[in-house]
Formats: sequence, C-alpha cells, structure tokens
Amino acid sequence: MTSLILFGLFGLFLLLSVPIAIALGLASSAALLVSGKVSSSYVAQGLVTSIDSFPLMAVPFFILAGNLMSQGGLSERLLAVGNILFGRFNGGMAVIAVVTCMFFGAISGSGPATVAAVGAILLPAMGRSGYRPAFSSGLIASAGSLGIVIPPSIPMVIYASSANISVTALFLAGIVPGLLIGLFLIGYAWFVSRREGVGQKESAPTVAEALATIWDAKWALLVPVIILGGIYGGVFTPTEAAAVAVFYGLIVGLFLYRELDLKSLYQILADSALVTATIMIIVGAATIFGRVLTIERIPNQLTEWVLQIIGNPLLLLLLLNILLLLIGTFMETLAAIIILTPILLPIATSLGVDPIHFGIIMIVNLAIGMITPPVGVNLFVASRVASLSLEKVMRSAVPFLLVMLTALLLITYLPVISLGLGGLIDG
Amino acid sequence: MKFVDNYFEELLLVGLISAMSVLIIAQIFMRFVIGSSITWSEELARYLFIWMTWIGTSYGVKKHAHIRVNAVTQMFPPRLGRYINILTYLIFLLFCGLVIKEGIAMTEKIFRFNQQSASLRIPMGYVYLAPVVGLALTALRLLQAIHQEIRVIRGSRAP
Repeated sequence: MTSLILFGLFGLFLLLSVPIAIALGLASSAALLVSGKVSSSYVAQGLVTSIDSFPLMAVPFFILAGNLMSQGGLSERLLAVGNILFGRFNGGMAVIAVVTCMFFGAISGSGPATVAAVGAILLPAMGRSGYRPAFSSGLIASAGSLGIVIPPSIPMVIYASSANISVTALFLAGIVPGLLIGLFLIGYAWFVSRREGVGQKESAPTVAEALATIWDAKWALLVPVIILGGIYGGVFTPTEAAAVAVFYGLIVGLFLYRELDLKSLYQILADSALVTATIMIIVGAATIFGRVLTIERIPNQLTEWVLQIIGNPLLLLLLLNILLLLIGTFMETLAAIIILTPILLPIATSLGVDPIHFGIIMIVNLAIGMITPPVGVNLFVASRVASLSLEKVMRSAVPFLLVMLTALLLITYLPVISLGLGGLIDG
Repeated sequence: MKFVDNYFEELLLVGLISAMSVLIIAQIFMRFVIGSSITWSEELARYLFIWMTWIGTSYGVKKHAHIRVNAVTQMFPPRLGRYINILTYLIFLLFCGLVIKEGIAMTEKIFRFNQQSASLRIPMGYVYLAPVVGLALTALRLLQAIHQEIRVIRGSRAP
C-alpha cells in the first residue's frame, strides 16, 4: 500500500511536470504519513541532513570551475590544439570533436555542459568543413555524454555518496571506460567521414605553429593534470580538488587569458549557484525517497523476488542494463542514481558485482540515456546549439547509440575495464 | 521594491557561493603554505552550502530553472498547459507549506535543546532554518508565478 502511494504519486506528479524534487518530496511525505513508521518531521530534517556532506560540496565547485573555464577562454584553446594535431587528416574534424569532448569532460563533469561548450564552437566549424549538421550534432551529443564517464564527474560524486564508497576510487574506475567509449566513437566517426569523403584537408601546420598553439593552451592542458593528479597523488580530496579548479579557472580567466571580467564573473557565480541548487534539492528529496524505500524494506523484498525468478547472473546483469537504459531515458540522471542505487545495488552485489564496477555500469547507462530519444537531454542541447530540428538530431544519434551500447556490453561483462586501473595502482 | 524583487536571491547566492569557495581555498592554502589547518572552515562552508541550496530553490522558481519532465505536458494545447502550470505551482506550494510547518516545529525544538555544531558551536537551529526560510521565499515566488499565469490566461481571453 505504502509503495503504491510512493510510486503512484511520484509518477502522477512527474506526468504533470511537477519539478522532480517536489514530486519526490511530496510522494515521500505522503507515504510516511500513511505508513506512520517515523515522525512527521522526518522530511524537514532530511532536507538538511541529506545535503550536509563535504563530498557533495564537490558538486558546486565542479560546476563553477566548468563555467569559469568554458567562459574564460580555455575551451577555444583546447580546440585549437586539436585542430593543429588532427586538422590535416580526412575526417580529422570529427576526431577533434570527440577528443575535445573527452578533454572537456575531464574539466567539467557534466554531459549537457560539455555539449553546449564544445558544440557552440565546433558545430559551425564542422559545417564549414563539409560535415552534415545532423551528423556533427549527433556526434557531439554522444561524445558530450562522456562528460559524466570521464572523471571528474558529478553523477559519480552522487553515486559514491549514496552507495557509500570512495569518490576517488570511482573516479579512477571511470578513466578506462571513458577512453574506450571515446575510441569507439572516434572509430565510427572516422569511418563515416572517410566513406563520405568529408572534412577538407587543411595544410599541415609547421612545427613552430603547432608549438605556439600548444604553448598558448598550456593553462587549459594543465587542468586535468592538476585535478586528477592532485586527487590520485593524495594531495587533495575530490572536493578540495574541485575548489582548487575554481581558483585556477579564476586566475587563468581573469589574469592569464583575460577573458573574464567582474560582470561576467558575477553572472557565472549566480548561474552556478542556481544550477547547484536545482541539483541539490533533487539530491535531498531523492535521498529521502530512498530512505522511505529502505524503511519499507522494498529493496530487500525486490532483491529476493528478482533472484528467485532469474537465477542466471549474466541474464540478470543484462536485464539490469535494460532497466537502467529505460530509466535513464526518462529520468533525470542524478535523481535516477539516488533512487536506483539503494534498490539495485543489493541485487548487483548479491550477484558478486563490485559496487564500484556497478557504479560505472550505472553511469555509462545513464550517459547513454542522455542521447536516447525521446527525452535525451544532450539531444535537446545539441539541437538548440545547432539550431536543427530535434527529430534530425535524434535520427542521426541512433548509430552512435549503437556504438555506445557495444561499449556498454564490454564494460558490463569485463569488470577489468573498470577495475583494472585501481588494481594496478593498489597492487 | 523592484530591486529586491529582481536581485534579492541572486545577490545572496553570489555571496554564499563566493564565501564557500573562499573558505575551502583558504583551508587548502593554510594547510600547504602556512602548514596549519583551519578546523572550522569546512563546517562553515557546509552550512553555507545548505543555505545556498534552499535560497536557490526560490531563485529557481523565479528563473523557471527547476528540472522537470515536460514531455507529456508539452503535447497539451497551450491554454490547458497554462492551467497545468498553475496546478504544478499549487502542488509545489503544498510541499512548501508542509515543510515550513514541520520545519518550524523541529527548528524550535533544536533551538530549545541548544544543540550546537561540532567546531564553531553555532546553534544548529540556524542550519535547520535554511529549508524553512528558503521555502517561505519559494512560496512567495510561487504566488507571484501563479499571479502571472492568471494574468496571461485573462489576457489571452480578452479580444
């Protein structure tokens, strides 16, 4: 009865386009009211305690750092480097797009932000080089989803917090899967570009030109070194690394590249705080929703029930993937993580799946959800940036979707892709 | 009044996120350069973060920035869509009312027991007040938004 109220109200509110956080919060309140198991101040209290966490403070800092860097002239310089390195090859532009998205993903930690930042500059450039707009926007929408697989990643911070594992370990596990998906996308994009013969050949740059471009981009190229190096060198916690990235982005944008001024800084601060708040109330409300599930013992019952019906672990893992893909298509990424982790993680661990590996599986699924029609958020952003109809972008994203699904299968069934790097470092 | 309407939450948010960043950067700076850590900066930053979230909720209503799934309601005719908007604002308002009511009772209790934070000894009531104040502001913004929707509906009916 309680679970009916919980899921029924939540679904109803979602259909009515009530903000996700409010749908979660009200459905939880109603369920608690009916079950009467905890005091009614539980929700008001949970709205504070669930976000009172130092690891979660990495979220505002990574958002702020990403905004500072994309508006502070770092992304243009990354692109210039890509152009110098790959521009002279046929199909090089498509490769640049993916590599830049991966690099930007290592700065920003958000999928849609990556699509917006890279797409705004690259889509016009790819159009000039003869790429079909639908192809390039599909490509950037897909590669942009790598923003959440390649660390730092905001969804990983959230998963680590709700699965109670180390953010650092999860970040480390995301590196190889992110590179793998990136390589797959590059391979496919290169293949298509060759077949269609698009991408004009630019003249090879002189060594001096190449060096000058790379030198100009040095401050941007250093970012992943500082963030990831700082975290893995044991110098910073992920939250501190994010704060350092804020400081770094500020110095570079204000004093070195001088593309920020006080007015744009004010706007960046206000926007980052707004985005953080809209994310954090979802985190807060979804955490309460998750606790209500646990109070009602729904995850336990579900695990038992599922394991009774499906004994084969390989099949069950496949079904979990399909479920995650479906939910990732319709649900906002972070809310999906917080609600699904307490439900699905027990099932996964009872199959012997490592919680870190499962986190990567979940995040790759949700990344794919960002480019799955009808509600993939990256598709919306890409169609807006490219001023192209949503239908066209959707259709062109389908082959990329298949490429990413192939990578997903490998990542699911070969745990070493996610866990190998961590094992190497520990061993 | 217009200035307050436009900038109240925005200025607070810019102040809060700046203060949070400065605190954590200062903490790292102290540890590496001066060699002594500040113990209270992390705690204070965390509380500012909570306040930022709840003030930001109100700003999110003003900016229509709250994340929602509107795939279904987009298919409705525009006029019906307006009514649905009002309905979602009312549902949001119900949530605000609920949290404000429970929150005030809870905060009062925490103040009465004089529960204090671990390192700064701040009364914890000030922290738990964040959703109450934030959602009270949000409720005002929601009433404002409902008022706007009604004006649009009335306006579109006029010849």
